[in-house]
Amino acid sequence: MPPPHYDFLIKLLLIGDSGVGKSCLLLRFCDDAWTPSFITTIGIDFKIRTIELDGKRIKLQIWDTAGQERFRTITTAYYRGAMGILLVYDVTDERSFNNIRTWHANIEQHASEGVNKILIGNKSDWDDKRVVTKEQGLALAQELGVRFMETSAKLNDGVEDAFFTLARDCKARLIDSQADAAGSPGGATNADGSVKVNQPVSQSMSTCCS
Amino acid sequence: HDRLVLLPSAPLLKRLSTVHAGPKAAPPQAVSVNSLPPPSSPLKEAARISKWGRMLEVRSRDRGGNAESWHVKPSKAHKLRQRVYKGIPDRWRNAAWETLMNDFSKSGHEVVVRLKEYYYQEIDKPSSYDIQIDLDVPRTINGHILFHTRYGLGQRSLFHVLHSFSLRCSQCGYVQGMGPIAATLLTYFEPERVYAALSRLHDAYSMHTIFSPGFPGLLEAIYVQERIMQSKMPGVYAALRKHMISTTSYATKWYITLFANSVPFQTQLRLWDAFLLEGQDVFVAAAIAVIWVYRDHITSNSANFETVLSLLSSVFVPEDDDALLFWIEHLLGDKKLRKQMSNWRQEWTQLVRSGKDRGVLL
Repeated sequence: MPPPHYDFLIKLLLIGDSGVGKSCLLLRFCDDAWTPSFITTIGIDFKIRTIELDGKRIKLQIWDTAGQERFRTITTAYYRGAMGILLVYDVTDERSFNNIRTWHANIEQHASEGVNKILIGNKSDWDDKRVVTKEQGLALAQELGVRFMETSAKLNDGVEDAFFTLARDCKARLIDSQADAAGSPGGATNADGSVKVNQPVSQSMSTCCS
Repeated sequence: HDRLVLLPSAPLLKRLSTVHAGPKAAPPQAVSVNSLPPPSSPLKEAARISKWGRMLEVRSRDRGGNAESWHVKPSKAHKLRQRVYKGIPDRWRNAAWETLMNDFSKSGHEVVVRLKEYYYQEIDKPSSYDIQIDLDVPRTINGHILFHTRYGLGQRSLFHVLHSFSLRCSQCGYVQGMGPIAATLLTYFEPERVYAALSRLHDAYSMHTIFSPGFPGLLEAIYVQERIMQSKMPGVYAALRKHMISTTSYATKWYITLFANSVPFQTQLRLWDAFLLEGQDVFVAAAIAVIWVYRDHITSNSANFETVLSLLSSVFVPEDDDALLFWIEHLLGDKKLRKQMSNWRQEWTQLVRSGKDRGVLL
């Protein structure tokens, strides 16, 4: 196998109600493109982007999920392998905001313990249709103990910041902390200091799909 | 914005048979395509139009004397299957699809008339799915001119059809995936007949099990697909297992949208021609065709989780639709394999019933 062009692999997951803009956020972050009428995500999809953090090349494997309730039997199988989760709502849709608690409960139930989370209020550019204030978003994030950011996939506002923040949190939790423990017996650290987080996680991600 | 990859014809010249893993040095990626090919009229379209004209016969007319329903002339019935696989001429699709649905569901025009009445009865009733449907309508094959304009004719028809259909089966309600199916039908039928067609897909073509909570029909199709992969392409099956690629991660949209978002529109119509003739097995065969064509990429030494999953999540642009359809025709013409497929479907039902289905699928 050719040597990987990255030092670490981090898996992220996008969840939230249908139509809040999960696929649009992903399209903006990975391809720097925007379309007002993306097709509905059926089941699950993923995209890749490699970023640089603290001099390390981090490959982000980002999973996008269908928002409709019916698809949760399929999408929850992907929670376990995620290292970071973006909980997305639409600031112009109160229902999507109120459902964040349900999505958060799903994470508690299906995701790995300690998974990093960020609450995202998308479509922040749409001032005349906004019904959820920034303060409300922040208050909910504090209550759930997660980070918070507003984004506009359309104007490319906050999107980079959101993904980078979550990736940095994941890196700090999974990689930096392991690197600190390097040298201790059983530390999964390579000679060059990189941590192999690739294979075991993709295994845990798929073996739970049945 | 989707990944477009070429589905080359060469591998389709060889029929499905048991094969071992291909060359280890094969590239893990397929050839990319920059844009969808422009729709073209098949070379023999004119000749086929007249052949279909001689094969189909008016069965009933409306009060204005317009053809209302058709049937295949008994003397030409033996030619039907082959002609369907060659591609129904576009101007005959409306009549042909209706006729194929009549035959497959063993019902006639009376049923369509009754279903049309349901459509109008349901249209003014509220549905708990209306918000979701309204959200999905503008993001359903919006490249097609009929669905371009927000709240334009096409989008309104699509909303009404999905709305009425969401009230038809309390278990299925509305599921994302019905949209592209209804929209495709709307390019050939008026809304009330699209409703009737959806109802027949639901009742006779087992779409009920595809759409129901838990997607039992999807899992059944995947089980059959995996059994074929395991017996005919053991190397591919092992590679998918090794890379921990669950079939649901790429094939969910294939089976739920009936390949609507995974092949060009023209190819989708050809697959649907065959589907309306033969039923659900067509999409299992199409799935197997895709895997068959890309098998060397999947078993390549440099393949990994991402290369395989990216490949299988792509939009497949066939080099030649005929090659794909003839391959499927041949596969489904294999009576022994069809029997096995039907056995595997029963086997899956048994596994589910006895609670032994966990961990069986990749």
